[in-house]
Amino acid sequence: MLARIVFHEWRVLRADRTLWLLLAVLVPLVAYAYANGAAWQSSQQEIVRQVLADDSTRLATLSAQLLAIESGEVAAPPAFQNPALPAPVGRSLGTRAAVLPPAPLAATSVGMGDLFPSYAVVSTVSGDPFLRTPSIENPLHLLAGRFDLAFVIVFLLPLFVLSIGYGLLSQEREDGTLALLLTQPLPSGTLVAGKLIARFVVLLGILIIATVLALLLGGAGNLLSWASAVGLWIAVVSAYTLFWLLVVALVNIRGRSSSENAMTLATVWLLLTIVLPAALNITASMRYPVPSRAEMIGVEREAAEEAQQQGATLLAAFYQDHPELAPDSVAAGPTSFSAQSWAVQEEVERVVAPVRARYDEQAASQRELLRRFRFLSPALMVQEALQDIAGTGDVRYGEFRAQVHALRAEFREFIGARIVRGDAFTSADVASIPAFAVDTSDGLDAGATSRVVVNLVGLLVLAMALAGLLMAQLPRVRMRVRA
Amino acid sequence: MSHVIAASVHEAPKAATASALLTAESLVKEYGSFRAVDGLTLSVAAGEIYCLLGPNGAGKSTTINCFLGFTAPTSGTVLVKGLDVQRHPVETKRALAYIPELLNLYRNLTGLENLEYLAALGGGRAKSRSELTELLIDAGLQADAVNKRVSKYSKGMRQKVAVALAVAKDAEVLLLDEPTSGLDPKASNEFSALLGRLRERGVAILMATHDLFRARETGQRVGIMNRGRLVRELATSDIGHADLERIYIEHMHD
Amino acid sequence: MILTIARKEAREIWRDGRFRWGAVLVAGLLAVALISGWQNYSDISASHKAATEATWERWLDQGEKNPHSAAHYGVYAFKPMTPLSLVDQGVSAYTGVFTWLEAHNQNPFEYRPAQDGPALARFGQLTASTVLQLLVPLLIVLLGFSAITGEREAGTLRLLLGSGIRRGTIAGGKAAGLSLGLSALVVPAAAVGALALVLAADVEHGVSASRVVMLASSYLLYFGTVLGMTLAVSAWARSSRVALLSLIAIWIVNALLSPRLASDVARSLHPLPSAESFRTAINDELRNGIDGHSPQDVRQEALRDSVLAAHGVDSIPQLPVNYAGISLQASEEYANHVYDRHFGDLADRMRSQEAVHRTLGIVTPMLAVRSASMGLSGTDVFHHEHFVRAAEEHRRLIQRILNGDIEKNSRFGETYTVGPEVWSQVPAFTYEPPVLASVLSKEAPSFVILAAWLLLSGLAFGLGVHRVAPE
Repeated sequence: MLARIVFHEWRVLRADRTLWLLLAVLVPLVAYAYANGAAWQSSQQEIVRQVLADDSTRLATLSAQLLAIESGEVAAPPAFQNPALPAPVGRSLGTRAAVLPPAPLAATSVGMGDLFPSYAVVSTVSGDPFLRTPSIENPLHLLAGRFDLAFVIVFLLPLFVLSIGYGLLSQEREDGTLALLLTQPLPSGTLVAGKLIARFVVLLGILIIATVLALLLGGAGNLLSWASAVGLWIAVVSAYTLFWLLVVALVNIRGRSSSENAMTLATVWLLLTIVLPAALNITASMRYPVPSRAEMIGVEREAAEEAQQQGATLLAAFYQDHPELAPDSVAAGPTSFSAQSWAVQEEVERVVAPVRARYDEQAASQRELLRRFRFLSPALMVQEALQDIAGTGDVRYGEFRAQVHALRAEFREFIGARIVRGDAFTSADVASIPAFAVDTSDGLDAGATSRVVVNLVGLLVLAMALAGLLMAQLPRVRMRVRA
Repeated sequence: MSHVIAASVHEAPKAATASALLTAESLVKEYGSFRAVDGLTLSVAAGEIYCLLGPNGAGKSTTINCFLGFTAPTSGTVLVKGLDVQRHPVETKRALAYIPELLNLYRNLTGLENLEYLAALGGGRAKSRSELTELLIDAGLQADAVNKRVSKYSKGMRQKVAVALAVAKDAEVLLLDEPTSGLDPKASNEFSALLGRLRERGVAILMATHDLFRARETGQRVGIMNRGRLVRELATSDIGHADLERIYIEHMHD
Repeated sequence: MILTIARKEAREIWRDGRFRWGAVLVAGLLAVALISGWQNYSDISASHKAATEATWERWLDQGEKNPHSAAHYGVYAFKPMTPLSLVDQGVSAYTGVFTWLEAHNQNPFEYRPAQDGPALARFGQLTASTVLQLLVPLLIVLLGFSAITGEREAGTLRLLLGSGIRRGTIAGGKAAGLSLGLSALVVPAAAVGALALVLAADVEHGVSASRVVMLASSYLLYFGTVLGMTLAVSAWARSSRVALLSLIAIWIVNALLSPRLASDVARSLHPLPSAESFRTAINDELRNGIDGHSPQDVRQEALRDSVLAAHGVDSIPQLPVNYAGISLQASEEYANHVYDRHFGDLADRMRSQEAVHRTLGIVTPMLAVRSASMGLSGTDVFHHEHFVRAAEEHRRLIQRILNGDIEKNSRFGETYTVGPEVWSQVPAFTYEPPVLASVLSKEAPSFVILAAWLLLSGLAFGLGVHRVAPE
């Protein structure tokens, strides 16, 4: 019976050209959006490749220079660019790059990737390493967001659902076929279910086939190991489609005209995907404002100045704390200037770190709070899930930032120990400069997977609630037969 | 349930209750303070055509909608094959077929495709395409029309699809609402003949109509409704056309 | 006669429960948006004001040191918020809010507020501009899609056309009636907005009554266009349903797709360099010279020779001025030249991209009104670049003053320190936002486009009414 209805609906969709229209619009849309994302993805790959190439060139040059100096072929250059001294190595000659290569599915959602840089160069220079590598993008374009597949899913997919569903029952009533249909011995639930299933299959079929084709043709890399991510993507998109189909059904059983249904559904769409997120945003930012970083700058500067004024005493204190790092004679020598300025820098870092961390933590906890609001809007859950699958969500970029800061700390320790001890930097040290462990994981990591699953469950819970509402209402609904 | 209208029904021979497929007992339907049907009692037996006559707003369509389950009665009972329509919506619908006044089918599908779908939903034995085609032709549809889109069909052709549907699902009950309005006399005549054939197969037919002539020609019994009440029941064999018209007009002045 | 029709239309609209609900919702959202815009403005401008004062005090209090050390110490420039940002925040969440003005480097603007926000912020803030650009048009559509088709379907169009009224009068009456209904929504909102602006009135940030009036008129042109389009579609469409679906489709393209598609067009017409290549190019030119053949030491040598020659001496210590100051300033100027080339080119490209968005207003009016709205609110890329430029000018001024002091007041090789008397020679950074005239000359196309849209949609409506058949 159900299969019969599904088949019939398919036949009607095909006969009235809805299907061809869908194909004609949805397929180019997916292709365009994917190509857009893929262009971004390959530009990111290019950047990562370039940065890594620069990184190895830098180290190779450093190595070569050191060997040349050590063998006495060339004289050591002036102190500020002498590779045999740890300070210039830490400042510029031996800096290390950290990169976040785009994941294979990155082309499906640019996400926060246009806002956060995907690489940083770690050095001993003070300040956030990311500030030295801001991504260049017209803020107008950041504001608009990308026309990527995630945009098509989050915003346009519901509109497609609405366009093939707003007349689910009302159209039959207006065409006069509902009367005949309802005199057949079938529960109204079966009828509605059949109609929903047909639309679900048609829409998702087109969308998923187009997307998978795009992924395969777009050369998204080793898709096999990412099959579970693709599976999650399909699950999320399906759950979202289901949600909207249920909304369509709920609106249709009210027995209003197709025009009224279209109006109601357009309004619901507007409220859920535009107004609600914006309203949540504003509630959150009024309730938990993220402090202006302007204030942070003042605190940082003050801390830095104090450290500088203490100057010489800092180094003494430092040696007291780290006797193992003290050179044989703490007396004045060629290293003492570098060592002292290092000690000052270290103190500045020490004082500033908690200030910076406080801002970061505050921003992070507020972000976390805001993220909780997403359960109220299916669009928000889908957006986050799609970003997590694509590896372009704020969590992944946050983790990358943390990794970069950790590398920076390690790097500073590595260089600092040599400065303070007054050691020379040798060609043998080059290989032991801390390096960044580039993420080469096959498939989604556990954290991302669990976040996606949470959102998926959230979506399904919403859909269940709607389905429950529908089931509860269906028996009580008196289907109006006449327009 | 103080409204007993059966008092006005004196001349009509009662159909045997045992074989009654359609039964309404003291049916009342109110819309707010308006009584669309006011204590109606009637029954239609297998192999009988019963025509409900009456002016617009007399309650004919409401009665039919009650039999279809589209409308829940305010009080009284409506039975199809002895089953309460409200309590057994699926089972009663399995037994009945319906031809509304504005009969529309899926415009973009062919007559055969429409029949295929609706017959499958209607239950009963599954039928092949050729069987269904035969049913359509039996119902009087031209063979070349069977595979044309319904958007090209006339009302008469659409009704033939509906009749074929009734046959396809082995309907024991047929409900019709003004089926002949908008049909030319020839098509109307053909349609009456079709109903006659269904009756011979033992189908109980309840038809609401304005057409006194057609009612007397086709029906075994006619019931005249006015303001929600069944004011008169007659056996058509007892009366001529002129009599029916006279009686009808009389009752309109009540 | 027009008035009679208008009154009837307005009355019908008011009796429509949907409109009342829609109007209440839109008005409520607008109020919330304005309040939060106001809060955001006052919070940020207070914090930036405090930070600006603090950085200036710290500059004056930095104690005795060499002027070049002070130049390295530098000051920070914080971008002020414009009061009209409570109407339209434009790109402000996506541009950095401050920059460090130090020796040698033109630093990027730091901390885009959007980076501190969650990903959900990318759905857009609820600002007055969102309400005005997205929600009000949809309300207009829902209000007017059946203006003509509905009359036809109800059979009243036959009466109307048969009553001997001129069709132009019917068209005028319909338009006036709908505008009247809408004004019930827009006028209170405008009043709230004006009140908020009076509270926020801040001449120093270039907010004048004329800016507000221009801003309001850009939105009125936009609303007029949407109204005209809605009525035109209603007059041309076969049925209310077709009219509604077409208008929703138009709305989607206009409000949802056009900003993103315009970004793609702008990006492909005027591509921006990648951050990596941008930085590399600047460093290359700083190191090897703009022509690639004059590295730093060659340039230094040439400078020394020319300075010595100009003073007619043959060694640096013989110079009557401190060569260190001259050399520092020369390298600053050279770097400035490089920065002007690259940052200038970048700014040019971004301006061209902005112009593409504006010009594409020809295709969807939303792009034109968005451009006008951001421009007049002072939150577009143009205003940001203007501030970046001003901050950079100030940085260069600081370098000139400090290097000049080294050149004139110290000797080559000596340990030279100065104090607050020199620091106070540097003027505090004050920012003059662009004058209205410059904004208007940039946004003139937006207004022309919007006016053309209004005219066109009105014309389409008029024509539609003239050919409409009663059945």
